[in-house]
Amino acid sequence: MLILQRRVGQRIVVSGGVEITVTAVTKGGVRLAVSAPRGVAVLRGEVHDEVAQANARAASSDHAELVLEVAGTTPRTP
Amino acid sequence: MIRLPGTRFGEIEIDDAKTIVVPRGLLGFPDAHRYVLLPRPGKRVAWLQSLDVPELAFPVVDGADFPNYPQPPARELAREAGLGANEVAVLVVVMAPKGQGLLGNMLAPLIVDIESRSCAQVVLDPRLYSAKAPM
Repeated sequence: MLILQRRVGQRIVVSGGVEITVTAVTKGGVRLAVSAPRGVAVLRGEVHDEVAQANARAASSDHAELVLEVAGTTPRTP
Repeated sequence: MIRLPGTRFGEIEIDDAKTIVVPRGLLGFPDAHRYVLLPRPGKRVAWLQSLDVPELAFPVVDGADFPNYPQPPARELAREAGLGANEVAVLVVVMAPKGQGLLGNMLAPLIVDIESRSCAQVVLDPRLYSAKAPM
């Protein structure tokens, strides 16, 4: 884990074309500007975790049989 | 055709010419990149079966079932995700926790570029969409 001290206006560059700039620091908060290439997702940690958790629950087997019981129409196959 | 043992459906035969590649994986599943869609005739829910991790499969429904979904439109999302955008399909991952019916992850649909069969899970605005929306 790399820990850096930055001031407003200073940047962090991550390989792969990701740049993070500190734009403001307030009491208890920091405002960041993130730029990333097309196709690189930038997500708040808690949103990422929520989606990852929903994926894990969808893939978990404990409700598989219930899903199999839910009838309807056939999705179009890509 | 290939045989894939060890899935939750037992050993299945799969048309690997229909492989869908997810270069960055689904969120939380970064190491599973190759999937096939297993439709179930007459059923709304299909399975997105991993070829890399046989025991991994996601139940999905067709995003086209939902009017005006997604916002922004799928083609725009495909372009943002670095996919081709000529012909795009949307899949919504679903779960069915006991007693709660079918819940859809409307927050993070799978966008499929049909031409290249490549796919990305994109995350929409959490103020507009829920990861556990009743269907």
